[in-house]
Amino acid sequence: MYSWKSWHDSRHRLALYAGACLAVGAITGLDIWGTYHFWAAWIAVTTNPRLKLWDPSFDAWAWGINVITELMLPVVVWSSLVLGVTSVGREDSSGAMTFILTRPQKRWRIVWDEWALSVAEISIILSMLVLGMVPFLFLISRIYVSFSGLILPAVVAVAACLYGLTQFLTLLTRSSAKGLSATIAVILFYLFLPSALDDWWHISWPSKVTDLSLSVFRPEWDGLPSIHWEIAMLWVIVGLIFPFLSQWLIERREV
Amino acid sequence: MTDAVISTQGLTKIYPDVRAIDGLNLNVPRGAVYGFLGRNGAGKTTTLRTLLGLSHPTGGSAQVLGLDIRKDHVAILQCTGFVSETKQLFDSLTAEQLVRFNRGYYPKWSDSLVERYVNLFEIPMKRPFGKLSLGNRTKVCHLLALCQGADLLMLDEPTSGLDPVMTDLLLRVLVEDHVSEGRTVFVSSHHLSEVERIADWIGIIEGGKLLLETRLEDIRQNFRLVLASGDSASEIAAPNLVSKRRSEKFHRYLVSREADDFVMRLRAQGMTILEVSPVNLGEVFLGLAGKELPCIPGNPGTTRAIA
Repeated sequence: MYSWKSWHDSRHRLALYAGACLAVGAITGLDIWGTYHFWAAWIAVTTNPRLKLWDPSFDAWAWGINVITELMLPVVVWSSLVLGVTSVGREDSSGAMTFILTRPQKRWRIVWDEWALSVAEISIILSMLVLGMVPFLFLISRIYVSFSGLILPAVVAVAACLYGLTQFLTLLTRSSAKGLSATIAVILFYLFLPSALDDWWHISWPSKVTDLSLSVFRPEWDGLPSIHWEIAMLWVIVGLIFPFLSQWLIERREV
Repeated sequence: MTDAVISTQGLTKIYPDVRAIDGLNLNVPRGAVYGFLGRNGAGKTTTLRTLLGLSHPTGGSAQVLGLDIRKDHVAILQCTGFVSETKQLFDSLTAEQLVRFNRGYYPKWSDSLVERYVNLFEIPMKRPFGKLSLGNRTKVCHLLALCQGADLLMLDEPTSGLDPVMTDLLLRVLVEDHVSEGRTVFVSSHHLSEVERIADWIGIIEGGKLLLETRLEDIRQNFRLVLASGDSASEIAAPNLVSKRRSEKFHRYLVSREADDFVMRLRAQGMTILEVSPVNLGEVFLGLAGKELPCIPGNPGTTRAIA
Protein backbone atom coordinates (compact mmCIF):
# COMPACT_ATOMS: atom_id res chain seq x y z
CA MET A 1 0.00 0.00 0.00
CA TYR A 2 2.84 2.39 0.74
CA SER A 3 4.14 1.62 -2.72
CA TRP A 4 0.95 3.20 -4.09
CA LYS A 5 1.89 6.42 -2.34
CA SER A 6 5.46 6.14 -3.64
CA TRP A 7 4.09 5.57 -7.12
CA HIS A 8 1.75 8.54 -6.78
CA ASP A 9 4.61 10.81 -5.73
CA SER A 10 7.10 9.62 -8.34
CA ARG A 11 4.94 9.00 -11.42
CA HIS A 12 5.30 12.50 -12.87
CA ARG A 13 9.04 12.42 -12.29
CA LEU A 14 9.15 8.99 -13.91
CA ALA A 15 7.25 10.24 -16.97
CA LEU A 16 9.54 13.27 -17.25
CA TYR A 17 12.79 11.34 -16.94
CA ALA A 18 11.59 8.48 -19.15
CA GLY A 19 10.47 10.95 -21.80
CA ALA A 20 13.77 12.82 -21.63
CA CYS A 21 15.74 9.58 -21.91
CA LEU A 22 13.61 8.45 -24.84
CA ALA A 23 14.31 11.74 -26.58
CA VAL A 24 18.04 11.60 -25.87
CA GLY A 25 18.18 7.99 -27.07
CA ALA A 26 16.25 8.87 -30.23
CA ILE A 27 18.45 11.87 -31.00
CA THR A 28 21.55 9.73 -30.49
CA GLY A 29 20.10 6.99 -32.69
CA LEU A 30 19.19 9.53 -35.36
CA ASP A 31 22.72 10.90 -35.30
CA ILE A 32 24.21 7.42 -35.61
CA TRP A 33 21.77 6.53 -38.39
CA GLY A 34 22.77 9.62 -40.36
CA THR A 35 26.47 8.94 -39.86
CA TYR A 36 25.98 5.33 -40.93
CA HIS A 37 24.43 6.49 -44.20
CA PHE A 38 27.31 8.86 -44.70
CA TRP A 39 29.74 5.95 -44.19
CA ALA A 40 27.71 3.67 -46.47
CA ALA A 41 27.60 6.33 -49.20
CA TRP A 42 31.30 6.93 -48.86
CA ILE A 43 32.01 3.19 -49.22
CA ALA A 44 29.76 3.01 -52.25
CA VAL A 45 31.67 5.72 -54.10
CA THR A 46 35.16 4.79 -52.96
CA THR A 47 37.49 2.90 -55.22
CA ASN A 48 39.56 1.57 -52.32
CA PRO A 49 38.92 -2.22 -52.21
CA ARG A 50 39.85 -2.44 -48.53
CA LEU A 51 37.00 -0.08 -47.60
CA LYS A 52 34.60 -2.31 -49.56
CA LEU A 53 35.28 -5.02 -46.94
CA TRP A 54 34.31 -2.71 -44.01
CA ASP A 55 30.90 -3.40 -42.39
CA PRO A 56 29.80 0.04 -41.11
CA SER A 57 26.66 -1.44 -39.52
CA PHE A 58 28.74 -3.17 -36.81
CA ASP A 59 30.57 0.06 -36.05
CA ALA A 60 27.28 1.94 -35.93
CA TRP A 61 25.94 -0.54 -33.35
CA ALA A 62 29.16 -0.51 -31.33
CA TRP A 63 29.21 3.28 -31.35
CA GLY A 64 25.56 3.45 -30.31
CA ILE A 65 25.98 1.00 -27.44
CA ASN A 66 29.09 2.80 -26.22
CA VAL A 67 27.36 6.17 -26.28
CA ILE A 68 24.36 4.78 -24.44
CA THR A 69 26.52 3.22 -21.73
CA GLU A 70 28.28 6.55 -21.27
CA LEU A 71 24.94 8.33 -21.01
CA MET A 72 23.61 5.78 -18.56
CA LEU A 73 26.00 6.58 -15.74
CA PRO A 74 24.74 10.13 -15.08
CA VAL A 75 21.14 8.90 -15.55
CA VAL A 76 21.73 6.14 -12.99
CA VAL A 77 23.28 8.53 -10.47
CA TRP A 78 20.63 11.22 -10.96
CA SER A 79 17.56 8.98 -10.88
CA SER A 80 18.87 6.88 -7.97
CA LEU A 81 19.60 9.95 -5.87
CA VAL A 82 16.34 11.72 -6.71
CA LEU A 83 14.20 8.65 -5.99
CA GLY A 84 16.31 7.78 -2.95
CA VAL A 85 15.97 11.13 -1.22
CA THR A 86 12.20 11.10 -1.76
CA SER A 87 11.90 7.67 -0.14
CA VAL A 88 10.29 6.81 3.20
CA GLY A 89 13.06 8.40 5.29
CA ARG A 90 11.91 11.88 4.34
CA GLU A 91 8.58 11.26 6.06
CA ASP A 92 10.37 11.76 9.37
CA SER A 93 11.04 15.39 8.55
CA SER A 94 7.62 15.86 6.92
CA GLY A 95 6.00 14.54 10.11
CA ALA A 96 4.08 11.74 8.40
CA MET A 97 6.18 8.87 9.77
CA THR A 98 3.74 8.39 12.66
CA PHE A 99 0.92 7.95 10.16
CA ILE A 100 2.91 5.42 8.11
CA LEU A 101 4.02 3.38 11.10
CA THR A 102 0.51 3.22 12.52
CA ARG A 103 -0.86 1.52 9.40
CA PRO A 104 -1.25 -2.21 10.02
CA GLN A 105 1.60 -3.65 8.01
CA LYS A 106 4.98 -5.23 8.63
CA ARG A 107 7.54 -2.48 8.54
CA TRP A 108 9.90 -4.40 6.28
CA ARG A 109 7.26 -4.18 3.55
CA ILE A 110 7.51 -0.40 3.49
CA VAL A 111 11.20 -0.58 2.65
CA TRP A 112 11.08 -3.49 0.22
CA ASP A 113 7.93 -2.41 -1.64
CA GLU A 114 9.41 1.01 -2.17
CA TRP A 115 12.79 -0.41 -3.15
CA ALA A 116 11.23 -2.74 -5.71
CA LEU A 117 9.09 0.02 -7.17
CA SER A 118 11.98 2.46 -7.43
CA VAL A 119 14.33 -0.07 -9.02
CA ALA A 120 11.56 -0.84 -11.52
CA GLU A 121 11.16 2.87 -12.24
CA ILE A 122 14.90 3.36 -12.73
CA SER A 123 14.88 0.33 -15.05
CA ILE A 124 12.09 1.93 -17.09
CA ILE A 125 14.00 5.22 -17.33
CA LEU A 126 17.16 3.41 -18.47
CA SER A 127 15.17 1.26 -20.88
CA MET A 128 13.85 4.40 -22.53
CA LEU A 129 17.39 5.46 -23.32
CA VAL A 130 17.95 2.15 -25.10
CA LEU A 131 14.50 2.09 -26.66
CA GLY A 132 14.94 5.56 -28.07
CA MET A 133 18.09 4.56 -29.90
CA VAL A 134 17.58 0.92 -30.84
CA PRO A 135 14.90 1.47 -33.55
CA PHE A 136 17.41 3.58 -35.53
CA LEU A 137 20.13 0.95 -35.07
CA PHE A 138 17.53 -1.61 -36.03
CA LEU A 139 17.10 0.19 -39.35
CA ILE A 140 20.82 -0.12 -39.91
CA SER A 141 21.09 -3.81 -39.13
CA ARG A 142 19.16 -6.46 -37.21
CA ILE A 143 22.14 -8.73 -36.72
CA TYR A 144 23.56 -6.96 -33.65
CA VAL A 145 20.28 -6.27 -31.83
CA SER A 146 21.15 -8.73 -29.06
CA PHE A 147 23.96 -6.42 -27.91
CA SER A 148 21.46 -3.86 -26.65
CA GLY A 149 19.93 -6.40 -24.26
CA LEU A 150 23.23 -6.89 -22.46
CA ILE A 151 23.40 -3.37 -21.16
CA LEU A 152 20.40 -3.05 -18.88
CA PRO A 153 20.83 -5.77 -16.21
CA ALA A 154 24.36 -4.68 -15.39
CA VAL A 155 23.45 -0.99 -15.14
CA VAL A 156 20.32 -1.71 -13.11
CA ALA A 157 22.51 -3.55 -10.58
CA VAL A 158 24.54 -0.36 -10.07
CA ALA A 159 21.35 1.71 -9.92
CA ALA A 160 19.79 -0.60 -7.31
CA CYS A 161 22.88 -0.27 -5.17
CA LEU A 162 22.97 3.52 -5.40
CA TYR A 163 19.25 3.81 -4.74
CA GLY A 164 19.50 1.44 -1.76
CA LEU A 165 22.37 3.48 -0.32
CA THR A 166 20.41 6.73 -0.68
CA GLN A 167 17.23 5.19 0.75
CA PHE A 168 19.20 3.88 3.74
CA LEU A 169 21.02 7.14 4.42
CA THR A 170 17.81 9.17 4.09
CA LEU A 171 16.16 6.85 6.60
CA LEU A 172 19.21 6.99 8.88
CA THR A 173 19.47 10.78 8.84
CA ARG A 174 15.65 11.26 8.83
CA SER A 175 15.97 13.95 6.16
CA SER A 176 16.17 14.22 2.38
CA ALA A 177 18.82 16.91 2.42
CA LYS A 178 21.00 15.11 4.94
CA GLY A 179 20.49 11.80 3.12
CA LEU A 180 21.58 13.36 -0.16
CA SER A 181 24.64 14.95 1.42
CA ALA A 182 25.61 11.71 3.08
CA THR A 183 25.18 9.72 -0.13
CA ILE A 184 27.31 12.14 -2.14
CA ALA A 185 29.92 12.03 0.60
CA VAL A 186 29.96 8.22 0.49
CA ILE A 187 30.25 8.19 -3.32
CA LEU A 188 33.08 10.73 -3.33
CA PHE A 189 34.83 8.92 -0.50
CA TYR A 190 34.49 5.65 -2.39
CA LEU A 191 35.72 7.09 -5.68
CA PHE A 192 38.64 9.07 -4.32
CA LEU A 193 39.80 6.97 -1.39
CA PRO A 194 42.00 4.57 -3.39
CA SER A 195 43.81 7.33 -5.30
CA ALA A 196 44.06 9.48 -2.17
CA LEU A 197 45.63 6.61 -0.25
CA ASP A 198 48.00 6.00 -3.12
CA ASP A 199 48.96 9.65 -3.64
CA TRP A 200 49.26 10.73 -0.01
CA TRP A 201 50.38 7.63 1.82
CA HIS A 202 51.60 5.43 -1.06
CA ILE A 203 49.22 2.67 -0.09
CA SER A 204 48.06 0.72 -3.13
CA TRP A 205 44.82 -1.16 -2.88
CA PRO A 206 44.43 -4.52 -4.58
CA SER A 207 43.57 -3.99 -8.23
CA LYS A 208 40.26 -5.81 -7.78
CA VAL A 209 39.18 -3.18 -5.28
CA THR A 210 40.22 -0.18 -7.36
CA ASP A 211 38.45 -1.69 -10.39
CA LEU A 212 35.08 -1.29 -8.69
CA SER A 213 34.12 1.94 -10.37
CA LEU A 214 30.51 3.03 -10.67
CA SER A 215 30.52 1.77 -14.24
CA VAL A 216 30.30 -1.91 -14.93
CA PHE A 217 31.55 -1.31 -18.47
CA ARG A 218 34.96 -0.87 -19.93
CA PRO A 219 34.25 1.30 -22.99
CA GLU A 220 36.09 0.21 -26.09
CA TRP A 221 35.67 2.58 -28.99
CA ASP A 222 36.84 0.07 -31.55
CA GLY A 223 34.21 -2.49 -30.55
CA LEU A 224 31.37 -3.32 -28.14
CA PRO A 225 31.92 -2.44 -24.49
CA SER A 226 32.90 -5.36 -22.33
CA ILE A 227 30.70 -5.97 -19.32
CA HIS A 228 32.40 -6.87 -16.05
CA TRP A 229 29.96 -9.52 -14.98
CA GLU A 230 31.79 -10.39 -11.79
CA ILE A 231 31.72 -6.74 -10.80
CA ALA A 232 28.06 -6.47 -11.76
CA MET A 233 27.33 -9.45 -9.48
CA LEU A 234 29.24 -7.75 -6.69
CA TRP A 235 27.03 -4.68 -7.17
CA VAL A 236 23.97 -6.91 -6.88
CA ILE A 237 25.22 -8.38 -3.61
CA VAL A 238 26.25 -5.01 -2.14
CA GLY A 239 23.02 -3.51 -3.48
CA LEU A 240 20.95 -6.02 -1.52
CA ILE A 241 22.71 -5.15 1.74
CA PHE A 242 21.27 -1.62 1.84
CA PRO A 243 17.55 -2.50 1.83
CA PHE A 244 18.28 -5.03 4.58
CA LEU A 245 19.98 -2.26 6.56
CA SER A 246 16.99 0.01 5.92
CA GLN A 247 14.68 -2.78 7.08
CA TRP A 248 16.73 -3.22 10.25
CA LEU A 249 16.54 0.52 10.85
CA ILE A 250 12.82 0.98 10.28
CA GLU A 251 11.91 -2.02 12.41
CA ARG A 252 13.65 -0.34 15.35
CA ARG A 253 12.53 3.16 14.55
CA GLU A 254 10.82 5.10 17.34
CA VAL A 255 8.84 8.22 16.52
CA MET B 1 -12.46 -4.47 35.78
CA THR B 2 -11.91 -7.76 33.98
CA ASP B 3 -12.84 -6.87 30.41
CA ALA B 4 -10.09 -4.34 29.78
CA VAL B 5 -9.39 -3.13 26.26
CA ILE B 6 -6.14 -1.54 27.38
CA SER B 7 -4.26 -2.98 30.30
CA THR B 8 -0.76 -2.07 31.43
CA GLN B 9 1.30 -3.53 34.24
CA GLY B 10 4.20 -1.40 35.42
CA LEU B 11 4.70 -0.01 31.94
CA THR B 12 7.88 2.04 31.83
CA LYS B 13 9.58 4.09 29.16
CA ILE B 14 12.88 5.73 29.97
CA TYR B 15 14.63 8.12 27.64
CA PRO B 16 18.24 9.12 28.35
CA ASP B 17 17.10 12.34 29.99
CA VAL B 18 13.66 11.52 31.41
CA ARG B 19 11.40 8.75 32.75
CA ALA B 20 8.51 9.43 30.37
CA ILE B 21 6.35 6.59 31.75
CA ASP B 22 7.06 5.34 35.22
CA GLY B 23 5.40 2.07 36.21
CA LEU B 24 2.05 2.80 34.64
CA ASN B 25 -0.89 0.55 35.61
CA LEU B 26 -3.77 1.41 33.35
CA ASN B 27 -7.10 -0.36 32.83
CA VAL B 28 -9.46 0.85 30.15
CA PRO B 29 -12.78 -1.02 30.18
CA ARG B 30 -14.46 -2.15 26.97
CA GLY B 31 -17.13 0.20 25.63
CA ALA B 32 -15.95 3.16 27.69
CA VAL B 33 -14.90 6.65 26.80
CA TYR B 34 -11.70 6.97 28.78
CA GLY B 35 -10.28 10.43 29.32
CA PHE B 36 -6.52 10.27 29.77
CA LEU B 37 -5.57 13.56 31.33
CA GLY B 38 -2.29 15.16 32.16
CA ARG B 39 -0.27 18.31 31.89
CA ASN B 40 2.13 18.98 29.03
CA GLY B 41 4.94 16.44 29.24
CA ALA B 42 3.08 14.26 31.75
CA GLY B 43 3.54 11.18 29.56
CA LYS B 44 0.20 10.98 27.74
CA THR B 45 1.54 10.93 24.18
CA THR B 46 4.40 8.61 25.07
CA THR B 47 1.88 6.21 26.59
CA LEU B 48 -0.19 6.21 23.41
CA ARG B 49 2.87 5.77 21.24
CA THR B 50 4.13 2.93 23.36
CA LEU B 51 0.78 1.16 23.25
CA LEU B 52 0.78 1.42 19.45
CA GLY B 53 4.35 0.17 18.98
CA LEU B 54 5.75 3.54 17.92
CA SER B 55 7.94 3.57 20.98
CA HIS B 56 9.46 0.51 22.62
CA PRO B 57 8.79 0.07 26.34
CA THR B 58 11.77 -0.08 28.67
CA GLY B 59 9.93 -2.22 31.20
CA GLY B 60 6.60 -3.66 32.23
CA SER B 61 3.97 -5.13 29.96
CA ALA B 62 0.80 -4.04 28.22
CA GLN B 63 -2.06 -5.51 26.28
CA VAL B 64 -4.32 -3.73 23.82
CA LEU B 65 -7.48 -5.61 22.85
CA GLY B 66 -5.93 -8.62 24.59
CA LEU B 67 -2.85 -8.49 22.35
CA ASP B 68 0.70 -8.03 23.58
CA ILE B 69 2.12 -4.69 22.44
CA ARG B 70 5.61 -6.14 21.97
CA LYS B 71 4.56 -9.07 19.77
CA ASP B 72 1.26 -8.19 18.10
CA HIS B 73 1.54 -4.57 17.11
CA VAL B 74 0.32 -5.16 13.54
CA ALA B 75 -2.80 -6.93 14.83
CA ILE B 76 -3.33 -4.10 17.33
CA LEU B 77 -3.06 -1.50 14.57
CA GLN B 78 -5.56 -3.47 12.49
CA CYS B 79 -8.24 -2.94 15.14
CA THR B 80 -7.23 0.49 16.41
CA GLY B 81 -7.93 3.90 14.94
CA PHE B 82 -5.33 6.44 15.92
CA VAL B 83 -5.28 10.20 15.57
CA SER B 84 -1.88 11.58 16.50
CA GLU B 85 -1.16 14.79 18.30
CA THR B 86 0.63 16.24 15.26
CA LYS B 87 -2.24 15.62 12.78
CA GLN B 88 0.28 15.20 9.99
CA LEU B 89 -0.45 13.02 6.95
CA PHE B 90 1.01 13.14 3.44
CA ASP B 91 1.10 16.74 2.21
CA SER B 92 0.98 15.74 -1.45
CA LEU B 93 -2.24 13.71 -1.25
CA THR B 94 -5.78 15.05 -1.16
CA ALA B 95 -8.25 13.76 1.42
CA GLU B 96 -9.81 11.69 -1.35
CA GLN B 97 -6.46 10.08 -2.11
CA LEU B 98 -5.74 9.57 1.57
CA VAL B 99 -9.03 7.70 1.88
CA ARG B 100 -8.00 5.54 -1.05
CA PHE B 101 -4.58 4.94 0.50
CA ASN B 102 -6.01 4.07 3.91
CA ARG B 103 -8.86 1.91 2.67
CA GLY B 104 -6.55 -0.88 1.56
CA TYR B 105 -5.28 -1.51 5.07
CA TYR B 106 -8.62 -2.18 6.73
CA PRO B 107 -11.02 -4.99 5.81
CA LYS B 108 -13.81 -3.33 7.82
CA TRP B 109 -13.43 0.01 6.04
CA SER B 110 -16.77 1.74 5.44
CA ASP B 111 -17.27 3.97 2.40
CA SER B 112 -20.77 4.86 3.57
CA LEU B 113 -19.24 6.31 6.75
CA VAL B 114 -16.78 8.26 4.61
CA GLU B 115 -19.68 9.84 2.77
CA ARG B 116 -21.51 10.56 6.01
CA TYR B 117 -18.55 12.20 7.77
CA VAL B 118 -17.37 14.14 4.72
CA ASN B 119 -20.78 15.80 4.59
CA LEU B 120 -21.09 16.17 8.34
CA PHE B 121 -17.65 17.68 8.92
CA GLU B 122 -17.61 19.59 5.62
CA ILE B 123 -14.24 18.15 4.63
CA PRO B 124 -12.64 19.52 1.44
CA MET B 125 -11.74 16.28 -0.33
CA LYS B 126 -10.02 17.69 -3.41
CA ARG B 127 -7.37 19.89 -1.81
CA PRO B 128 -3.90 18.55 -1.00
CA PHE B 129 -3.50 17.84 2.70
CA GLY B 130 -0.53 20.21 2.90
CA LYS B 131 -2.73 23.13 1.87
CA LEU B 132 -5.47 22.51 4.45
CA SER B 133 -5.95 24.54 7.62
CA LEU B 134 -5.21 22.89 10.97
CA GLY B 135 -8.91 22.37 11.58
CA ASN B 136 -9.44 20.64 8.25
CA ARG B 137 -6.33 18.51 8.80
CA THR B 138 -7.77 17.42 12.10
CA LYS B 139 -11.04 16.52 10.39
CA VAL B 140 -9.26 14.41 7.76
CA CYS B 141 -7.30 12.58 10.45
CA HIS B 142 -10.56 11.80 12.25
CA LEU B 143 -12.23 10.75 9.01
CA LEU B 144 -9.55 8.12 8.42
CA ALA B 145 -9.74 6.83 11.99
CA LEU B 146 -13.53 6.80 12.21
CA CYS B 147 -14.14 4.91 8.96
CA GLN B 148 -11.79 1.99 9.45
CA GLY B 149 -14.20 0.04 11.64
CA ALA B 150 -11.88 0.09 14.63
CA ASP B 151 -12.78 -1.55 17.93
CA LEU B 152 -10.69 1.02 19.75
CA LEU B 153 -10.12 4.67 18.93
CA MET B 154 -7.03 6.29 20.43
CA LEU B 155 -7.21 10.03 20.01
CA ASP B 156 -4.40 12.35 21.05
CA GLU B 157 -5.67 15.90 21.53
CA PRO B 158 -8.59 15.18 19.18
CA THR B 159 -10.10 18.64 19.01
CA SER B 160 -7.00 20.72 18.30
CA GLY B 161 -7.77 23.25 15.60
CA LEU B 162 -11.51 22.53 15.53
CA ASP B 163 -14.03 25.31 16.03
CA PRO B 164 -16.71 24.91 18.74
CA VAL B 165 -19.31 23.63 16.26
CA MET B 166 -17.00 20.94 14.88
CA THR B 167 -15.80 20.07 18.37
CA ASP B 168 -19.39 19.52 19.42
CA LEU B 169 -20.08 17.42 16.31
CA LEU B 170 -17.01 15.29 16.81
CA LEU B 171 -17.78 14.59 20.46
CA ARG B 172 -21.34 13.60 19.54
CA VAL B 173 -20.12 11.34 16.75
CA LEU B 174 -17.70 9.62 19.10
CA VAL B 175 -20.42 8.87 21.61
CA GLU B 176 -23.39 8.23 19.32
CA ASP B 177 -21.68 6.35 16.47
CA HIS B 178 -18.93 4.51 18.24
CA VAL B 179 -19.44 4.03 21.94
CA SER B 180 -23.10 3.16 21.40
CA GLU B 181 -21.89 0.22 19.27
CA GLY B 182 -19.74 -1.12 22.07
CA ARG B 183 -16.49 0.36 20.83
CA THR B 184 -13.99 2.00 23.11
CA VAL B 185 -12.63 5.53 22.86
CA PHE B 186 -9.39 6.48 24.58
CA VAL B 187 -8.96 10.25 24.57
CA SER B 188 -5.73 11.88 25.64
CA SER B 189 -6.23 15.55 26.31
CA HIS B 190 -5.82 18.47 28.60
CA HIS B 191 -9.11 20.03 27.53
CA LEU B 192 -10.98 19.06 30.67
CA SER B 193 -14.37 20.41 29.67
CA GLU B 194 -14.45 18.32 26.49
CA VAL B 195 -13.33 15.19 28.27
CA GLU B 196 -15.81 15.78 31.07
CA ARG B 197 -18.58 16.00 28.50
CA ILE B 198 -18.08 12.56 27.01
CA ALA B 199 -15.88 10.47 29.29
CA ASP B 200 -17.15 7.90 31.72
CA TRP B 201 -13.70 6.90 32.96
CA ILE B 202 -10.85 9.20 33.88
CA GLY B 203 -7.13 8.56 34.27
CA ILE B 204 -4.83 11.33 35.43
CA ILE B 205 -1.13 11.03 34.73
CA GLU B 206 1.65 13.19 36.08
CA GLY B 207 5.38 12.63 35.75
CA GLY B 208 4.70 9.34 33.99
CA LYS B 209 2.74 7.95 36.96
CA LEU B 210 -0.99 7.33 37.04
CA LEU B 211 -2.28 9.39 39.95
CA LEU B 212 -5.95 8.54 39.64
CA GLU B 213 -8.15 6.16 37.70
CA THR B 214 -11.85 6.27 38.39
CA ARG B 215 -15.33 6.67 36.97
CA LEU B 216 -16.32 10.24 36.25
CA GLU B 217 -19.61 9.51 38.00
CA ASP B 218 -17.62 8.66 41.12
CA ILE B 219 -16.01 12.07 41.04
CA ARG B 220 -19.38 13.76 40.73
CA GLN B 221 -21.10 11.76 43.45
CA ASN B 222 -18.45 10.91 46.01
CA PHE B 223 -15.40 13.14 45.65
CA ARG B 224 -15.30 16.11 48.04
CA LEU B 225 -12.97 19.01 48.58
CA VAL B 226 -12.39 19.73 52.25
CA LEU B 227 -10.92 23.07 53.23
CA ALA B 228 -9.64 23.29 56.78
CA SER B 229 -7.40 25.43 58.89
CA GLY B 230 -5.21 24.45 61.77
CA ASP B 231 -1.68 23.34 62.54
CA SER B 232 -1.79 19.67 63.42
CA ALA B 233 -3.29 17.73 60.56
CA SER B 234 -0.56 17.67 57.95
CA GLU B 235 0.33 14.06 58.77
CA ILE B 236 -3.20 12.75 58.39
CA ALA B 237 -3.45 9.70 56.17
CA ALA B 238 -6.55 7.88 55.00
CA PRO B 239 -7.29 5.41 52.18
CA ASN B 240 -9.90 7.77 50.75
CA LEU B 241 -7.53 10.74 50.71
CA VAL B 242 -6.61 11.46 47.07
CA SER B 243 -4.50 14.55 47.60
CA LYS B 244 -3.62 17.04 50.27
CA ARG B 245 -2.09 20.46 50.04
CA ARG B 246 -1.00 22.91 52.65
CA SER B 247 -0.42 26.61 52.38
CA GLU B 248 0.66 28.02 55.73
CA LYS B 249 -2.13 27.02 58.16
CA PHE B 250 -4.71 26.30 55.46
CA HIS B 251 -5.19 22.76 54.21
CA ARG B 252 -7.00 21.41 51.19
CA TYR B 253 -7.95 17.74 51.06
CA LEU B 254 -9.45 15.88 48.16
CA VAL B 255 -11.25 12.77 49.33
CA SER B 256 -12.71 10.12 47.09
CA ARG B 257 -15.52 8.89 49.42
CA GLU B 258 -16.91 9.10 52.97
CA ALA B 259 -16.08 12.77 53.32
CA ASP B 260 -18.12 13.01 56.53
CA ASP B 261 -15.90 10.49 58.31
CA PHE B 262 -12.83 12.32 57.09
CA VAL B 263 -14.18 15.64 58.35
CA MET B 264 -14.83 14.08 61.76
CA ARG B 265 -11.22 12.91 61.91
CA LEU B 266 -9.99 16.39 61.10
CA ARG B 267 -12.17 17.91 63.77
CA ALA B 268 -10.92 15.33 66.26
CA GLN B 269 -7.41 16.63 65.57
CA GLY B 270 -8.47 20.17 66.34
CA MET B 271 -8.84 21.40 62.79
CA THR B 272 -11.44 23.97 61.81
CA ILE B 273 -13.47 22.95 58.79
CA LEU B 274 -13.98 25.88 56.46
CA GLU B 275 -15.83 24.19 53.64
CA VAL B 276 -16.82 20.79 52.28
CA SER B 277 -17.92 20.90 48.65
CA PRO B 278 -18.49 18.60 45.69
CA VAL B 279 -15.90 18.89 42.98
CA ASN B 280 -15.77 18.83 39.23
CA LEU B 281 -13.13 17.21 37.05
CA GLY B 282 -11.12 20.41 36.82
CA GLU B 283 -10.80 20.66 40.60
CA VAL B 284 -9.75 17.03 40.85
CA PHE B 285 -7.20 17.52 38.10
CA LEU B 286 -5.76 20.64 39.69
CA GLY B 287 -5.84 18.97 43.08
CA LEU B 288 -3.61 16.23 41.74
CA ALA B 289 -1.50 17.93 39.12
CA GLY B 290 -1.85 21.64 39.92
CA LYS B 291 0.74 23.90 41.46
CA GLU B 292 0.25 26.26 44.37
CA LEU B 293 0.75 29.96 44.23
CA PRO B 294 2.35 31.42 47.37
CA CYS B 295 -0.37 31.96 49.99
CA ILE B 296 -1.25 35.47 51.08
CA PRO B 297 -1.29 35.41 54.87
CA GLY B 298 -4.83 35.10 56.21
CA ASN B 299 -6.34 34.28 52.83
CA PRO B 300 -7.13 30.63 52.06
CA GLY B 301 -8.07 31.43 48.47
CA THR B 302 -4.97 29.96 46.89
CA THR B 303 -5.72 26.59 48.41
CA ARG B 304 -8.97 26.50 46.47
CA ALA B 305 -8.59 25.30 42.95
CA ILE B 306 -9.99 27.51 40.26
CA ALA B 307 -11.66 25.27 37.72
